[in-house]
Amino acid sequence: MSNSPATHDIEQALKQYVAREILDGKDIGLDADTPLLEWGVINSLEIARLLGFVREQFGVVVPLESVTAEHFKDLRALTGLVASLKG
Amino acid sequence: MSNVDFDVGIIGGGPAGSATASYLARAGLKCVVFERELFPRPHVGESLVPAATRVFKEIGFLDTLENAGFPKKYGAAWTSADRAPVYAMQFEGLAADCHVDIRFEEREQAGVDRNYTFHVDRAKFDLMLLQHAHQLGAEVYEGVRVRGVDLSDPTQPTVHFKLGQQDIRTRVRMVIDASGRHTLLGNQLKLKVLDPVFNQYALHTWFEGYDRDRLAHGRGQPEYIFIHFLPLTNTWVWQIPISESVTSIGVVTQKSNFAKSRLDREQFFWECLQSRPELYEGLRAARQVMPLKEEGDYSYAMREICGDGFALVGDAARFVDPIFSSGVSIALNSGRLISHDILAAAERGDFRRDSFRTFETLMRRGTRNWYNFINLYYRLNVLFTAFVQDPRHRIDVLKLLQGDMYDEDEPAVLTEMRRIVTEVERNDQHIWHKYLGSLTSSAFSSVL
Repeated sequence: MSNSPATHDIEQALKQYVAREILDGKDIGLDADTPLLEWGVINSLEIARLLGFVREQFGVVVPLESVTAEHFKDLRALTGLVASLKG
Repeated sequence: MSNVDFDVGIIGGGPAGSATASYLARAGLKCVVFERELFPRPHVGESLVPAATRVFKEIGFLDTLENAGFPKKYGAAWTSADRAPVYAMQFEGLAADCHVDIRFEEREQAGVDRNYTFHVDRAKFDLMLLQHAHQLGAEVYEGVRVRGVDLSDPTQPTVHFKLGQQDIRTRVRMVIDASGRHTLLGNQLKLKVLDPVFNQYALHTWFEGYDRDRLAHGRGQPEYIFIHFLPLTNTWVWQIPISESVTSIGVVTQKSNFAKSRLDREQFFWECLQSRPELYEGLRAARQVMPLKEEGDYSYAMREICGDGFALVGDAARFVDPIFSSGVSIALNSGRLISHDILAAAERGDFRRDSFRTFETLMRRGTRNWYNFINLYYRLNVLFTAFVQDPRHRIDVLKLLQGDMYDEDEPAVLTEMRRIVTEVERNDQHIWHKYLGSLTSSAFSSVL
């Protein structure tokens, strides 16, 4: 699943969102394994905005109880979550 | 009527007392308002919510208010500077503020025909409202301190007060306690229960020349109320426009935070503000135009809010926390609800407790919903922010922010917020787990 074209698109869209909206275009060498939480790239409020983006972009609702470290630790994990919710 | 001096004796001439007097006097009841101060006098609680509009309309006060030139309030905005330290260090220069806001016009509200409410200088506003009650026919005694109420014959309560050296008694058919945080009847009848959970504390003052536009970052909302979160637990700042040039600023925190700091009030106030440099600098550049005032011993409820021959309204009945600017609206609406029951009671000539059942049910429900909303908010701020930004919940949250909380036992949005909070409490892997406020979940069982 990790290499399917659909998954790749999700990851790219999420990456662009984080780079544009959260990092304000700053280049920190963001990739699928960048530890978003450990580095404090996304904070508690930005997760709320990110969930809004996911809802609009992919048409899926991330249940708030799934906002865990496991799913948000990096773009790869987040992509997996979105892909599984898209079914 | 022949054996009493007035139909209704109202203790206190703030918004709750004046609204009650207005409703009753315009319906033809003979009422008297005892106000201990000489108006105008300063008072905290300067921002209204739209649910107040209905009362202003019903008592014919809205035009007066519109013409008074108070700043219009179209909405509310919340800001925070919440950054993980690593992030702040590695990526300096990024915008520090997170910001959410809401406009009242996003939701239609029954009985409310305009998309704004007001911020008010309470000295001026309370005087206007009391004068309005007087014009409608209520007798108003200012500078009169009520000493107590004799309820031994509940069909004919007697209000005791002093005029000069003289002890005066006034016989009424019913007493309304609108004495605010003095809680005159609540103290006398030992009805008061201090809230074991909320122990908030506020320091506030006015500034002249504070640049509200600057903090609004060109979003064009200088006349919104702003709630600025501070990094200290359960601590926030209100920013309320009082006039073109004057802004009310208040720091609300847990009393224990203040005690632990071992600072004096002035130092503590400024130290709190320092955690938000933009706000701090803006205020330092402005001129503080009055000494700091404090509000302590914050939250309480009453075991009973009505009984044979009496009822409690506004802050005299309950006080929780000012986070959603609910105080004046609750005061006015409690006046609206009790007046409705009093007019029916007067018709029947029966002022016993049963006559006030509708008031009691609706007030209990409304204040319980407020209480739960405030608790959930303090327990997990970010959840509130997430709900405001989520189109599925935004309008339901706005309904609460507008002050519409009397028509449902528990709004579904509160149930949903609580469900998620419970989940976050249970799961320490949840990203929001570390953001849980220090209020424990027992806070959810309201005092009464």
